[in-house]
Amino acid sequence: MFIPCYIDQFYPGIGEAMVRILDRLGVPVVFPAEQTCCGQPAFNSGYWEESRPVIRQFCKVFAPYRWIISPSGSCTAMCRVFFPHVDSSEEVLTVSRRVFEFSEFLVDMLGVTDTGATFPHKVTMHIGCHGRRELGVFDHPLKLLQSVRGLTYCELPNMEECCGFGGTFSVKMPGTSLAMGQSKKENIVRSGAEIVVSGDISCLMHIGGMLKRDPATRHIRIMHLAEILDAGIQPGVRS
Amino acid sequence: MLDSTSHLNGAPFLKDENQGLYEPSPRFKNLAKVCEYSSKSNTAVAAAIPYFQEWREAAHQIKKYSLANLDKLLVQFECNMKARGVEVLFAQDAAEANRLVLEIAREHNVKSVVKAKSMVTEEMELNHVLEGAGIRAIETDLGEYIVQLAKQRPIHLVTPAMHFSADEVGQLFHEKLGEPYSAEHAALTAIARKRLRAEYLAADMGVSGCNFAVADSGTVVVVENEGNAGLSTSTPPVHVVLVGIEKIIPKIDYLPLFLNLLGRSGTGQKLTTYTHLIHGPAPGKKLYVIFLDNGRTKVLQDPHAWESLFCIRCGACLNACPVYRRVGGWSYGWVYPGPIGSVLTPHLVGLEKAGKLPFASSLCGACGEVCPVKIDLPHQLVHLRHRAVNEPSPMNSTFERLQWKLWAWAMGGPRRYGLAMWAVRIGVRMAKFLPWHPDKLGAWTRGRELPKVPSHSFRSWWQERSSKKGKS
Amino acid sequence: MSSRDVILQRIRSGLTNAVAAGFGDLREPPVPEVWPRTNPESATLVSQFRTEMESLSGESILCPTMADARWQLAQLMQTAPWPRLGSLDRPLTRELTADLPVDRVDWVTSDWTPPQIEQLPAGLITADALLADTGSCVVHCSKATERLMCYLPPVCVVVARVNQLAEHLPAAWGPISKTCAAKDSQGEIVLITGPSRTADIEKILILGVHGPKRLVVLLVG
Repeated sequence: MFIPCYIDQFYPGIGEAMVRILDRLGVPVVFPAEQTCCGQPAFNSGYWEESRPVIRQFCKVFAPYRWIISPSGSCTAMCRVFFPHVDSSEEVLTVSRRVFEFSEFLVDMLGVTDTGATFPHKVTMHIGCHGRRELGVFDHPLKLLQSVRGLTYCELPNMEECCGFGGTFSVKMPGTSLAMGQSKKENIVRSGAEIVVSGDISCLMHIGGMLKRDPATRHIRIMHLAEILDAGIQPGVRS
Repeated sequence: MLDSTSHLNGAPFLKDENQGLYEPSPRFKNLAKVCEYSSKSNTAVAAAIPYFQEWREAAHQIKKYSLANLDKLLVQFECNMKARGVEVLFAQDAAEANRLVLEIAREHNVKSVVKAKSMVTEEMELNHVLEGAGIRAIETDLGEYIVQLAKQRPIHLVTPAMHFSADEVGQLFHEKLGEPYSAEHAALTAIARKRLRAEYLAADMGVSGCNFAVADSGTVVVVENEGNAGLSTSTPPVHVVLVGIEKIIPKIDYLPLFLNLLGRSGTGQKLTTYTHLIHGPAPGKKLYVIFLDNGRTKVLQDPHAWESLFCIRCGACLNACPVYRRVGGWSYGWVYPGPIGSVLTPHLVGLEKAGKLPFASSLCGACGEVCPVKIDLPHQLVHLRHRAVNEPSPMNSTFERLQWKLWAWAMGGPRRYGLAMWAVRIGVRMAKFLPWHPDKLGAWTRGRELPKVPSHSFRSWWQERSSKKGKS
Repeated sequence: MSSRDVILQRIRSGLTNAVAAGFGDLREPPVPEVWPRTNPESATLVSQFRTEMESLSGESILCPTMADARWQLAQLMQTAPWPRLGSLDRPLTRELTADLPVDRVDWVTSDWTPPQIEQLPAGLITADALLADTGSCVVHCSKATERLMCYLPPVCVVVARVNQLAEHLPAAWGPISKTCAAKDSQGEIVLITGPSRTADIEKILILGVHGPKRLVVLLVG
């Protein structure tokens, strides 16, 4: 497992849920403790030379593993799509190819669309842009979500529009980032959902931060897809 | 804005306008709505065509081939057009192109020029140059006519006056043209029609751009909806075409593909109202074609940047871009706005001036998804970001580089990582006690709450779990 | 060195980098099919053409015989009303206007000036081909007056035969391609798809901004 730094530090529950889901599916999971970061923040800022040692460290740590799964579309895209731009050595290319986003791994590699979860709430889904456009991960999270028992799926209007996070974009161009987030917030309200879910908690940090700031939307919660897919599992149920 | 010596040098890069990128203006609310609607309907149109993705790929390959053979194709085009009595000229930069146009105008005793829309002439700021030489230059595309009267730059590639309400146009026509005020679209259009007809009939020269310059047949292709290009280029005795060198395509037989892509990506139309395939001058008329380099050959030095020259100026990326929708065209500081502007402007004007533009994006990729010639715009943007921080540009910052070096050091191993994250957690916890949040922290908390700091990290949970299970 | 040579040289030097980066030696891409040929029946083509024209706010009138066409033209002239009709001199336009009084038809010759053409209440031209899938008229204009007849009069009437209908642009492409390639071609080929339009003010569609407000196609046969 590749657990991005912000999940490790601020949303450990996502990693925990992921471990439990994979455990139940009989997938042997390892978390190499020497991992740090994929290098995306420096890369997106143009500082490719500075990101190179971080990328190499990543590839060294993950070299022994066949499948590297991450609960983040944007970090996975960095590994699979952008690592080769910075470093096209064999060591980097080999690892780069093996990184998968969690929902894509479940659906495409394991053939799983139902994790046996129950979550009787009104939920809308936001799909992160890197996952959607760089990796083609779009149907996967939706399929998984729609198998959850008791869940009311509320379609998000203008779902394909970027939420405005964009990593460092959120603090380098805050006015524009917030304007984009405002539209996303309005669409979430229009969807009637109580909870916004995504395969990218990074987007949700920004969306959630805005929802919390506004008393009118403070009640709307953010959750990662893995947490919902781990919810309400009856003991002994195998999917 | 322009001093007397620099007026020939083309459109200046307006650095101060870039402020608009950071703070969207409420005046562009209409722009956002219109772009969103256009983008959605054009996407639906494309999705309904089973061949659309194949078309995009075919167009991409043809454009790549065209650039790979650019010199041969330019010569072939020149040869074919010359054989029909067309004068084909070349200009290295905007200044030279302006001089060539002035020479032609002098030769033909031109007092007034009617102009069809051409982005290349915006690069040249041709209108200013002509006015400076005492020649009247009238934009004939309705949107361009409006912004010309208002002395503004266009806000959008395809709909230049999108930010004007009908009321504002009515007031403009009343003030500048002395026409009775009206906010009715039909009445306003009728005013423009009446005024511009008089101009077409009196003009000594017509200037247009060119959507595709076809090498093997020697054809200038111009597409439009209003009829202003048809009129501008057929009423006056002289027609001058300004065209970027990258607009060349090798074969006339490729044209149906590009026409099918351009209309749909630009305006959701199957074909624009008028598609002109110009072979040469009509008897008794004179036709000139001026090819402009203006920095395009510099782009060819970098094979990774070639794709930016595939652009057919459809405007689809603008409509799709969540940033452009909110900040409008002026914030990009130069002729080309939106995602393609963020890529082309640094290439043509230089990173030293325009280095900020590639950073004005969340890298969402909506632009690359709709580009009819499959320019991977997000990849072009990150490539330019890399160049911007390493070459002379406003984004090349030793301070920021040091910060990233420090960050890379912190990410060098689990212990350093742990130390850095401990500091971050403390910072986030303490933030609520600070009276004011500096710099990036303030940029975040300006509109968002910070996340809660949980009692444990994933790592510590995994450690505990592993030691419980006796695994490592 | 002339600017032409400077530019060509810069291009060539840029392209040598491309060869080194593996972008060189590209083969000429094949001409893509764009739309498949389904060879529909004439009736289908007519119906498709008329539907497309309607969606563009153009008008199309189906005239089973030339006599019908003449009658339709007379009706148009009476209803509008057009005191006179300017026309390009072609066998088909001569046939169409055969029973109109001589003073109602002005034959637009190549010495006509733009202001003269601008005064016409309506202009009559022929098409070289029609495209059913887009509702377009393909018009070859080698002379300036032929070009102006497409754009200046407020109404453009196109007379064409049903057998000139092609399924789509690729199906009609042969003659177009040939004319474009011919060394002695002059003027332009214009594909006219509906009346002139703009949406430049608030994206509200208005017809007849510079070119004709009305486009009428008389389909004979």
